[in-house]
Amino acid sequence: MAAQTQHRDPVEIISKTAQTSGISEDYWNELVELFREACLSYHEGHESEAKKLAIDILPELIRRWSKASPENSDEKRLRLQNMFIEESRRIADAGIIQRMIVNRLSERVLPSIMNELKQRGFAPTGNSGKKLPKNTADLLEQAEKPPEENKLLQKAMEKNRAITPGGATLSTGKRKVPVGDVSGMIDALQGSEYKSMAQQISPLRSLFE
Amino acid sequence: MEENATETTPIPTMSSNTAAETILVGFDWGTNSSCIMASTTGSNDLLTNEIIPSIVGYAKEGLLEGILPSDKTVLFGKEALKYRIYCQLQRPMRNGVIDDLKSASDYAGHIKEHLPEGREYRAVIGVPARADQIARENVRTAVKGVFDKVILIPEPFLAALGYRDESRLKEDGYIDPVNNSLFIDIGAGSSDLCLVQGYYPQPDDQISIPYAGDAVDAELSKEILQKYPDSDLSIHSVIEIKEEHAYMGPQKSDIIVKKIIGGKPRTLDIGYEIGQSTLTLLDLIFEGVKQEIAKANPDSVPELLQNIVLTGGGSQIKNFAEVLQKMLEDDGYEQPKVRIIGENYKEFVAKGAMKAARAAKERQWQTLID
Ligand SMILES: Nc1ncnc2c1ncn2[C@@H]1O[C@H](COP(=O)(O)OP(=O)(O)OP(=O)(O)O)[C@@H](O)[C@H]1O
Ligand SMILES: [Mg+2]
Repeated sequence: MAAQTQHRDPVEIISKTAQTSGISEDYWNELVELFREACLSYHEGHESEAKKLAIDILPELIRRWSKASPENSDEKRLRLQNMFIEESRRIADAGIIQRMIVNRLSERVLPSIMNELKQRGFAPTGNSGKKLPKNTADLLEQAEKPPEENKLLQKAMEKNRAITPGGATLSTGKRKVPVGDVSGMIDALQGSEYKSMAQQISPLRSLFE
Repeated sequence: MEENATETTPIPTMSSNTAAETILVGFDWGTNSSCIMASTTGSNDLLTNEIIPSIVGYAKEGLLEGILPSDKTVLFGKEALKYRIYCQLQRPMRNGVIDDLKSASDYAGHIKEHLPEGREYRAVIGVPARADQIARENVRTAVKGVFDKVILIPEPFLAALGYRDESRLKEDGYIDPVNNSLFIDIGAGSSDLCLVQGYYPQPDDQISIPYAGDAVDAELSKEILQKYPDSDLSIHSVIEIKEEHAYMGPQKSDIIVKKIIGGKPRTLDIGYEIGQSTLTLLDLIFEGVKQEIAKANPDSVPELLQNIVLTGGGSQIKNFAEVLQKMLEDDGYEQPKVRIIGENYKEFVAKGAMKAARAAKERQWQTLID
């Protein structure tokens, strides 16, 4: 297993460059740990446990950290997103994907997540001038409210449940590929397979939505 | 290594993964039997083209020497069937997906013995359209160590690709079968119907009915046993009878089958029973066809009705195409035309897989790693 402190990923570098005070950093660490636990619980099939963590506790931790953090809100959003991505990937590294035997799978799956995020304007490319989409702002705003009002996360969790791990069949997805375009067909098949894997390895990914 | 430098053997370089000795493989891994084709990357000539029953036989313990060829402990395909009384037979696949990983891996290993020498093996492998992620992962696991790189593609895609004759596309009067057709693949475990209208079929275009050859076998066994309660035919005998005599349509009263039962030769008069055994299959296929036609764009239906194609082992049931066509006609469809893909039905998926292997880009090959 690669050590968790190996920083080769731009995502991680961005998240580590943020300067934060000690106390908010403690809150941050707690928040990360909880998110990780929620992901793991979900993967181990403990859905209700994951839900409890994500809906009852996570928003509170986000709120606490957000208040204590000296970063501006754009920075905070970026950091939060990056953490979600990084943690999702850690889950992937931690075993689920090890069994997968496709070529450097995580390197293919991750771009698929990234691409999707990019299309939605969430690109963690260090492109800080760009305004983050409204949804992320909503998430943070929601998180700053008391937990019972936190509809967004609730919705996110419900969406997650619809993802049936292992259930995805092989298809070209939404793309219509002419029969003559063989390599286009293979791309479409693999694209939708990687995408569905990506969905599985980042169970709480609809937090971005 | 140095002495190789003067020989013609190409020296592998960093950039050339695709040296001449890379072997491309098309693999249709069926429940009942599998078709395997292979060629080198640069050539269109098939170096391997074989159909191997999808079955593995593990020698029973304590067999005397000399009973099994070369005293093998594991037999495959026809050989396993031939020596079945000395073996524990195991089918790796069930309903189109791997059911037993151990025998699947053994079987895949055996497949390799049929392939030409090569430095690297790249296989396009057909999987049923409904194969989920676990089923696909099982395939990848089973062929690890056999193939270096793989691409998995749904069988109906490969069948469409294999059935199409690109060399004739410009020919007048050649109807491109993938333009507007309904393919009906009747295998052992399932019957898969699939609309192909110029594009690779999407999930909505397909129906998979978990009723096919195996179910007919069960039906026929039951029927025979009803008429001859003391007949104790093995499933292999029943399959033999089916493959020789199965029919659809008007009852045949003149099918007499000779079988050894309890050590004595017996004649079984089972024309009616055989006819009964295929009725449910016919009904299910008919319903499936109607459903598929209903999904097609109404403007495309007249042409679609001209291109209903039966394939898979079940398509070999006598009069299947004629009877299905008649049923559609009687139901009010305009001049439907049902035909069978032909005796070489087993080849189309593997043929399509070979085409896909040749067209695949370097980055699309998935390396099998531990
Ligand atoms: N002449 C025949 N008449 C009737 N049935 C036949 C005939 N020949 C083969 N079959 C049956 O066809 C079935 C096998 O078909 P096929 O080889 O297409 O299946 P498969 O591809 O191995 O299975 P699947 O598609 O379910 O994975 C078996 O049930 C076999 O007994
Ligand atoms: Mg088949």
